[in-house]
Amino acid sequence: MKLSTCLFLLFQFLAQQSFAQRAIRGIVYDGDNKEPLIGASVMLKGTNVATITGTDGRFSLNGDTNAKTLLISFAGYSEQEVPIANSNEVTITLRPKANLEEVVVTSLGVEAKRSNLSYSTQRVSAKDFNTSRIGDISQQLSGMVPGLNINTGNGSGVSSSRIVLRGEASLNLNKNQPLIVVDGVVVSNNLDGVGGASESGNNLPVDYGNGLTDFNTDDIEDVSVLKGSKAAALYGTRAANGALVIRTRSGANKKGLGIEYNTGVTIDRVTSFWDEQTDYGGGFDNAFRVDWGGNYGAPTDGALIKQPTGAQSSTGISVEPTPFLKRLDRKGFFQTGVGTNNNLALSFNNNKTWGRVSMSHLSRTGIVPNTEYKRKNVGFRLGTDVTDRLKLDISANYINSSSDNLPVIGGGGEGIINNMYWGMNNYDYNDYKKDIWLPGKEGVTQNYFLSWGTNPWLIVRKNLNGFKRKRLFGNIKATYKLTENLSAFVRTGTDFYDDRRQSQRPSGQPNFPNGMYREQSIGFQETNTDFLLSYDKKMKGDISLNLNAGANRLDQTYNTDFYESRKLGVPFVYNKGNAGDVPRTINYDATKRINSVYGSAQVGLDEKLFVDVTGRNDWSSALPMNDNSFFYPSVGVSAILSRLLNLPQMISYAQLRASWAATGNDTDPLLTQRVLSFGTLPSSVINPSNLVNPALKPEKTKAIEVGGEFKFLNNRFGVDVNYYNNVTTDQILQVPISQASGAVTRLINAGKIKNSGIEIFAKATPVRTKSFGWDVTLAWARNRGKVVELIDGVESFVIAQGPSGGTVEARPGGRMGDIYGRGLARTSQGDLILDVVNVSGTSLVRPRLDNRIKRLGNYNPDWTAGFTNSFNYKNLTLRFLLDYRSGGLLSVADGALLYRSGIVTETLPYRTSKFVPDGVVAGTGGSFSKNSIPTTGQDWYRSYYPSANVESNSYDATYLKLREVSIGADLKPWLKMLPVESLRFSAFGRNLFTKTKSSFLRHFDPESLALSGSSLIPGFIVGQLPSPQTYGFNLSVGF
Amino acid sequence: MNKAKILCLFVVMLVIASCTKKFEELNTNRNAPTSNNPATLLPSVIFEPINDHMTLQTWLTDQIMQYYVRRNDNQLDAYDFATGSAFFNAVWRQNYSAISNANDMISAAKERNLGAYEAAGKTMRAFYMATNTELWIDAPGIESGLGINNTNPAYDKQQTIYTNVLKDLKEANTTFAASSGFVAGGDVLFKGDVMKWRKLANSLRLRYLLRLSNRTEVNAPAEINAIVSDPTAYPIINNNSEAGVYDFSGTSPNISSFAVQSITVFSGLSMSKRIQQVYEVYDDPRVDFFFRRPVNIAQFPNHEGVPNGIPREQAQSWNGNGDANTSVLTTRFVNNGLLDFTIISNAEVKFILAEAAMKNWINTGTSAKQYYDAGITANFSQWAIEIPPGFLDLPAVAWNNTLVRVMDQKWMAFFLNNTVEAWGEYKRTGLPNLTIGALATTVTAGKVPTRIFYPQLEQSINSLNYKAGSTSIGGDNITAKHWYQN
Repeated sequence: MKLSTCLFLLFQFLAQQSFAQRAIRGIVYDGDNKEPLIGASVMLKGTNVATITGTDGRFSLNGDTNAKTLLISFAGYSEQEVPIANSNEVTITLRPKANLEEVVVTSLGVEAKRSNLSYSTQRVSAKDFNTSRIGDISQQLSGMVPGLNINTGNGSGVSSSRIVLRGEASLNLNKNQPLIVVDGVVVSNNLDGVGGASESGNNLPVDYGNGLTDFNTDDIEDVSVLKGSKAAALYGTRAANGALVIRTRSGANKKGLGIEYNTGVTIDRVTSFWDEQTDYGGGFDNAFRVDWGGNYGAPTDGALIKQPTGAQSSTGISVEPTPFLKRLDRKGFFQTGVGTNNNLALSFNNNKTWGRVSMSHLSRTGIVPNTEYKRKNVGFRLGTDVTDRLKLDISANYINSSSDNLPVIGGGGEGIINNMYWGMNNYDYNDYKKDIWLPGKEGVTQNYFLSWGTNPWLIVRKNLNGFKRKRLFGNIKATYKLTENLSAFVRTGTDFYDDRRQSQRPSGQPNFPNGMYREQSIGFQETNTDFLLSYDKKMKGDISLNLNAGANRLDQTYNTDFYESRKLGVPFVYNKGNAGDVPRTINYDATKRINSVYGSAQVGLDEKLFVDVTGRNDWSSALPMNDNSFFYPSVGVSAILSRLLNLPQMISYAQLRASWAATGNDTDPLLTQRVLSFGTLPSSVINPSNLVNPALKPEKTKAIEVGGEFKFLNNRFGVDVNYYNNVTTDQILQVPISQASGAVTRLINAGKIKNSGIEIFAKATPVRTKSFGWDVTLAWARNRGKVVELIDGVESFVIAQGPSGGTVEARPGGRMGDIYGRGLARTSQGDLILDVVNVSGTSLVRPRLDNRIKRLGNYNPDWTAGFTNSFNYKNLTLRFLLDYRSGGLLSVADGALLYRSGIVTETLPYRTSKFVPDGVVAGTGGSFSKNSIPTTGQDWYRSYYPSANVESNSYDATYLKLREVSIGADLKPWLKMLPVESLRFSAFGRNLFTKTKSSFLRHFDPESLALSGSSLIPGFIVGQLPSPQTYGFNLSVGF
Repeated sequence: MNKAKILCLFVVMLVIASCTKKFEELNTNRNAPTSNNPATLLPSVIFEPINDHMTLQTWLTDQIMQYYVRRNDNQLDAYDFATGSAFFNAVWRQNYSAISNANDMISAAKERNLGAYEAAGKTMRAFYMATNTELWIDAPGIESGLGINNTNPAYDKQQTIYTNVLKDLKEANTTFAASSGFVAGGDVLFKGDVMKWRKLANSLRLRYLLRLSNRTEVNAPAEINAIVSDPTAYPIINNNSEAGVYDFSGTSPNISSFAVQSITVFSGLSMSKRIQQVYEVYDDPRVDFFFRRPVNIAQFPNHEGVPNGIPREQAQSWNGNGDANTSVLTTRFVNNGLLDFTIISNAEVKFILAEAAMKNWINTGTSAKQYYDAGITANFSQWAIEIPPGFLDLPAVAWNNTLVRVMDQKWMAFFLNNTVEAWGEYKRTGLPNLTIGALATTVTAGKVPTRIFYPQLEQSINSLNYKAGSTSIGGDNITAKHWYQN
């Protein structure tokens, strides 16, 4: 049909040519870069004679000689009328719509000019972030939006990201994420975890990717970041943390038929890992020991030592001596990950109907051998003007993502990294690669050099964690223009997914002696149906009026099904029927509904001053019946000073804005009614560990924001500054209670958290000539989240339990993100207290650990800055992005292990000699005297950096990262003879260089976080896989 | 379409939006039961905390009481109790959770007039409370396990806790006697045998009375005598088949946390020097039952133990290679249900009576020696080990009318039979003789710990009560004194 429409247009064009009396030719240029514009619409005003410009920007049409004016239009550019006069050859320059006319998508999918808005928003266009097609969209936005903080877990194949806008307002770690909206439909970014804590020996979590990882970034047109409560006030309860409003490409901005094909390849290379020492091998006291783990052993000087090969056994020592050498290649265990991404899109537009269909296939192999991630997307958009008044818009996305194996994440025994901690330098993983089992003992005894560790090849080849996720989201929207000023739309949209995971563990390995089989399935659906009535009117005296009123119904269902057997009946058979024990099974269903009505009013004065108010009322089924309604208003003002006042010439634009907003929030369903839990034995029940609350109230956030946007020197330099202050009260929290009550937590309304901060987004174009341009942006942000009040009688609220006893705690007067843990004991003078211990008849000193926990720092940065530079030379673009993070603490559970097992170069000093540590030893009667007892490096590192010493294993997380360098080329001008409309090539490198302030953090990626169950815990890393450098290229062809 | 119609439409939408009729139904939880049923609460009251007790016994009290040494991870053996917080907290959590389940079961049983469930609730509550006070001294007591009704329970003094424990056990015996039994099922401990429950309650009362016998307020001798002299009113455990043991089926989840340990863990659990002495002095066959001789038998033909409380590096490489050259714990209990969880054993009851008879608190016609011999015999027979002829007359074993002898054999009988109680008896009597390791000495100045730290969470979440409780015991340290210690 679309093709026929095109043909029809063509015929029409030809027909007109033959009967015309006058031929008009011309070319249309872009006003900024002077390039020809392709596909601009050219029309003889007052007639139906029209055409579009060709690939060289040229057009020609024949028309009535009486026609006096050409009307030229192109999406994103100001419409222009050009008098034809007597010339038949015209050159037209279209000006892009100036930035002050920049349109963003606000609440409910309503588009608005930024200058009219009383709050800060930022729109990022896909071409600015989609140069490197890696990860999900949040990772690509990193460093481009001030106040947007992204932390990505370190998966292999796929990784979930944690997104926080303007600091964490909720004491519930998992409720600080912004709302994600695609084409007006709220979509899930859930992280549905499976598995336990990050140090669990046989129940480590798996990162299956959260909701955003499903999206095809090639389908994205732009993202509007609505940061504050005001911006999101109309989205209701869940937008208290802001919103990312994504628009997909619709096909509307290109006339006729378009075909676009994009192909890309990415390479993940492990270029750095732990900075290992190579001088010593496995063992202790400078001597090799069998089945030990750790590298304080004999020097790797090639001396002949008895080293058992094959499976470890206590008697295995009686083999021929072999040279003792550094053979273990930890970094070499990882592989180069390869990803391919192919995307084909067809679009069409015949002025009345437009649409786009895209298909993409993404496949990545991870850096951990035998891990991978695959995704297929089909996207569909269709818009049509059914009549002059009725418009239909349909959007649908189907996603099929899957993996045969993803690695477990964390530092526990079943993970790869745990093996690396304990691996002995004198062994070689490759010796255990071919035979992972002892001959004839498949599924009974593994082949490995540690009896208590797991052969890493067994882990990657046999301990599989796969998933299959099918997801559909989309919406249908009908807009009807009732009168010139009044329009209405009705829309219904849904997001639905079905996620099935399974994990397999064969028997015969230390952490799973009997094997394990687990299945988990998650079903989720959210349907929103809404309705909006809009009234837009220009009144007398240049007053404009915009009124909106609407209603929404949200229905959410969530169900899970879980099965786990820790004993396989028949080895290597993974089926629910093959349980050798009584498997653990549970299912859970929950539903929720929120009904809402809302309205907004904006009054504009001569496009100079805007005042707006909004109000929304929600009724949530998750709240107690007698108190389930909550109302939240907002008010704001925007003044465009540059239009109101006579500003100096150098100021091209100035806007001031201020707003106040309240948002409410409900909670998860089924939290108002007490139910018992099932006990471990059949036919048994127990009291629930979480006490529900039948008297919950909705949460409240009140936010104030003031800011302004200023542009100077003909828009060459611009800056957008914001200050905000958000106060969240009455949070609905699972508050830990004394476990002596019989329960672990209770649900209450409590706490008062204040987040305030400053965001600066600066943009400059230092150089702009006809062929060369240099654009710079700087995104700088600083946020302070303060715990103003907590809960009566509770000194501390543990927000998250990190590894090794480290915790994230909220304490009144403290900051959000404070890390607590044990540290070294010191005297009141600050001297390190050392204990004298007797090891094998020799006295040594060891630092004493304080039993009390204390505040060690805060995981949030003091400030962050993202700095992008792009250089354009003719049809080449070079772009690089630097990220800087100042301050913040990172607690590295892995660090303790690197010291404990003598892996890193830090453990080389004092291998064979002793030193006298600074500190004091206790004398009689509470006195201390300066230490004079020497100790060995081996004993000191192990006693100074035990896992429990969270203090010494925490480091200043300040870093500078060269996040991305990309080079793009528009090849079409060079390859004009090719029958294509556009041809672009880009190559990029990501994660290219990291400089950490703390030297020890060179072993790690400082911006990662820990995954524990369903939570991504910032401030901690444990069992971190190496962070690869990514290189890749993309080739796009358009027809 | 005119404006009136639009207004109408809008009003309709408003009405739909504000309609919340179905909300209550939507927010009703259909995933789990909502009411307290004694017959479904009873299995969890009995079972839920057991595995955390097993774990505590395996990693802490077996080492404190010097049965074995966990060579590769001996921080707890060296009294660095901060490293054990995870499973200490688990015991706290599970015991109080079970107490809350027991409280709900008791009140539901009272309502329904189901005396046996009420009495079983009291018996188990008493056992968990007593364990708690053994582990922490002062601890949440009468205010604990009340769920939403008290989320900040105050700490009771040990005296109060034990007073309530004794009261619960006494009442349980009476209520059981008058009850119509476990009519609704759910008794996973004794399969509905009320008489066994009565014997459990009364035997536990004997244990705790003996524990408190240093305190004259308790009047333990007379109370013990009252029980022992009236077997009809107060039946007690008399043979192994009546012992208070939970019998694991051996199939997950009905399997003990001990049995699911990886087999390699066991080769890291070396016989202690203290057990090696038993082997050397009187070659007890139970030593061979519990421990496997060194793998490197050519070089080490005899049992080789490792001293407790020494630096780990030393323990790991004992005799040059701890794996090969020391005796390690048997793997006979791995991956099966052979090892039960003992609440109280028949042997322990016999040793209690031996001590009571020796101290002339009771006069049943059975002598202290007879009770003593019966205790040893009961323990041998629990493990199905044949008692060697003349064993009871060996110089190091034969009854000599001393507490040292009772406590030596009681200690042997406690192994894998609830060593938290072996520790309790050590705290009461200072017996058997233990040698504190070099590293452990630096931590507690030469004392065997008496308790474990309160859970860290209590410090911040129940801070006022925590402070009062720890002040009352002289500070939250691991050598604080129990009320019964004097």
